[in-house]
Amino acid sequence: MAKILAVDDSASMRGMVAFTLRGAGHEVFEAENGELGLDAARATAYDLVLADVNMPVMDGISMVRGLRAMGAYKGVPILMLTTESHTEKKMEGKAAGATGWLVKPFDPEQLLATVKRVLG
Amino acid sequence: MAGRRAVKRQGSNTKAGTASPGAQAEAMVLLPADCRIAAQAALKDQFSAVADAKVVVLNGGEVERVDTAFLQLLMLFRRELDGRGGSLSWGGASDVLTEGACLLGLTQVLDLPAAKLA
Amino acid sequence: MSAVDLTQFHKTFFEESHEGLDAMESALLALDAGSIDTELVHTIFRSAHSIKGGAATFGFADVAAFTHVAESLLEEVRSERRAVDPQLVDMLLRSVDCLRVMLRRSSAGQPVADAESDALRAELLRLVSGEVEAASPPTTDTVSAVSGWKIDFSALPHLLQTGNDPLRLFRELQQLGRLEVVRVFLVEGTPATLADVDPAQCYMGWELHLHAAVARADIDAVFDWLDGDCVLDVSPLPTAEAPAQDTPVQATDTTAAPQADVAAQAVVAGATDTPVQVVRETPAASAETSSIRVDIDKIDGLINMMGELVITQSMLSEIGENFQLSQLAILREGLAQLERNTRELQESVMRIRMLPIGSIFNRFPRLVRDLERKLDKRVKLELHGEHTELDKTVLEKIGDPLVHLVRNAIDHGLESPSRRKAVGKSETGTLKLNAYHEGSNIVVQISDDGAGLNRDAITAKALQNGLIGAGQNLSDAEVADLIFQPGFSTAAHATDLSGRGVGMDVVRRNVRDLGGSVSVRSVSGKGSTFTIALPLTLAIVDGLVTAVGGERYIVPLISIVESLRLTASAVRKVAGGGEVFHFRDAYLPIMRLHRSFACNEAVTEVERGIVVVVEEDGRRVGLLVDDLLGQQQAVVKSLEAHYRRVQGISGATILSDGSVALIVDVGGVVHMGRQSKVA
Repeated sequence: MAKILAVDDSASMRGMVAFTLRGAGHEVFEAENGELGLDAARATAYDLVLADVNMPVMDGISMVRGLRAMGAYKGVPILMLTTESHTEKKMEGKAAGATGWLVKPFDPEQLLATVKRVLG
Repeated sequence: MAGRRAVKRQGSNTKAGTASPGAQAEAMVLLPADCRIAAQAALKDQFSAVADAKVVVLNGGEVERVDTAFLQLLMLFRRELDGRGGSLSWGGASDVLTEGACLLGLTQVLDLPAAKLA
Repeated sequence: MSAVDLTQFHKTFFEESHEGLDAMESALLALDAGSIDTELVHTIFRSAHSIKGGAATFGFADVAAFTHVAESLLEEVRSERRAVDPQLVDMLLRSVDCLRVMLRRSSAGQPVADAESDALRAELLRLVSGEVEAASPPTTDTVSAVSGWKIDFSALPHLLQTGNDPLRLFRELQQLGRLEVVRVFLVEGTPATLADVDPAQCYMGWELHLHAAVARADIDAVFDWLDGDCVLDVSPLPTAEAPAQDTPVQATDTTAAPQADVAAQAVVAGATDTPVQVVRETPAASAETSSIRVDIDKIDGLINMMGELVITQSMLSEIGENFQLSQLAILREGLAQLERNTRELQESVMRIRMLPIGSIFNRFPRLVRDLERKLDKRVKLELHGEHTELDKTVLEKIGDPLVHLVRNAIDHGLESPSRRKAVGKSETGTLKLNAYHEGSNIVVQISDDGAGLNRDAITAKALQNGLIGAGQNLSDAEVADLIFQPGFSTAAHATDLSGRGVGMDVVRRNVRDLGGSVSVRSVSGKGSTFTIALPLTLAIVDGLVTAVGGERYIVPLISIVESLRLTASAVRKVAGGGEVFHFRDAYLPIMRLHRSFACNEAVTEVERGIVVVVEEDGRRVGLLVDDLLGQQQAVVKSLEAHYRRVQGISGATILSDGSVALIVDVGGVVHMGRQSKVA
């Protein structure tokens, strides 16, 4: 069971993600923008970070860059939650150090399958 | 984090001051439970410190998490030992360790026992 | 179907979507004013994007499809491929409206898209250049005839730092079939000595054989996140190997199957328990349980107060353990403290329901903009006191009356630019909305610098409608009051706006339902000010407990002017059976509460009872009760919710002795008095 950080400005998406992952036995911490996400990541070592792309205050791409700059998050999987209409965002996310992405909309099964995939 | 208890040297050759090559006959490294990428810098230092030993015994019985970075470091360490005339042996290898090595095709390179599950 | 019940997130989704639309609207209006602020564009885009993502996730396909087109258009704006012009802003504002309706329908479980939304969507679609429709998922190639795949895979140095791990990839490949590592090697350029190795970099490469008759796409899917992180070459294995792999494929299939099963069980086991309960708790239909967002400070305040209450309670119970008369002073002190704690706690609990009126005020820039265009007027809107807090229920119900007053002010109050110019005013009229606290009331004022009420037109109309008699001399306040009478309208011809079927009488009724009052002050040629006074909170009323027969009635203190005992001679009978008495230079009617509420055994002689003078909307009446029993804060319980609506009663409460008392709706009683007088 992993410690997972879910960062998304949408409370409903965050709620859905957190609820689903908790249901699968994971420990989930929620943050509503990139800045709060970085704060949380500094305080606790997470096994996986899920990051929305478009967020106020600090977007997901900048947060990924910030995470990868921390020694403790070198190899930690970070998944971007993105929409298919933004292939350039995917690439931007990858360049920032994201592991992969989960394409919105996704349902709980897809989320769990992807999380299982990265956590092994 | 792999830290303090990871390096134990056996016998009378424990002093780090014995710098001349080949002075250490045998050295042992206890591998930590979490051997993933964040632990590699510390592990590399430990491996470097014992690279001159004739025989390095790795104890991987407590290893719970591995990744490619770690298995690669083992492979590179093995290569380093070979180059210096030393050898690698195992004082214990957890299933996670043997399974990971098997999956990456490193069982033979690392002289590990065959994985049970693979 | 999903094992996780997503409906539990719908409410949050609707809430945040409406908030997003509000933000989008404000930003669009700011854009319209000529400022091309990239931050505004981002805000608009982000809102649309979130709504689309949520709608698609939670299964509101129509909303998702609509927002998708809007988002594509916004993407063009964001990437500066499209300029912002008034037409675009207009269309996007209409999209905001349309989405509000669609969301409301979604939450009510009604069909969402209609001809209007489809038309608007088509309009947006026409505007978007290039293809918009979501690219259909790549057609999965049919499993080719290949028996397996040769995969040459070597990492680029940074691979591991992306969080991708070949170990994980190989595990995934193993799920597809038997994976054979044919060769593992160090790539060219690997440092020769351990000392030069950067352990965070990847120097490895592999030649793999995957013995599985899977599609190429299945393999690509495993590597889909590694574009640019590795060198990959996938080719079919020579068929010569075919006879050899029949068995292994089957063998791996059987090992893979149980694993998949375990995963599926984990999903089910982890997720079913709770959601099933949730479903049971929620009534079947999409009954609207409203929720409230509370400032964390308010919660902290509550927790603090709760702590103090606990301390007081433990102190009191300690005294109670073995009480001696000498401790009386301490006991009293403790009880006083308890009272203070309770009051503070009560206030804090009530504050939870308080929300800033700004959320209503924010609607108005948009409304004013639309009205300006429609009516060809120029209006400067000023908003003051947006942070003034109001009970949530009051806030929800005051929106429509305020909208009506604002419409009215622009439609009837403010003159056309040419007319304003002619009378020496600036062409742009000013409409001011102001909210502030006054005692235990919230006052909301809507003032305009227009023509003011037209006294002559109003009296003429009232005369025509039979609301007043000929030759009746009315004070300015009485004239102003006429516009709140049912069916009254002075507009020469119904405009599009006043044609919406809401009159000022409805405004007054709605405000009264909230326990408030509305009045108007007007100066000819200078403008009008509508003032709405609302109770701070609906749930608590400071009241005077009165006895009428065997019953207890609570009269809200706020309405009471004075209580007095009258002598029999002070009461005069008037034609039609009414009774009046002289009070501060005016004759006020007497309302016998025992008669209004049909109470038995009540005091019927005025001189033996007490007359409570109450005021509502500037009208005063004297209520005859048996006796005054004291003041009390009453927690209002809705009578409607538990019984039914009763005229003249605004609710019920439970008195300290456990009996039930009814709370007098002063406005309603005054109204009843007038009706009976007319009858």
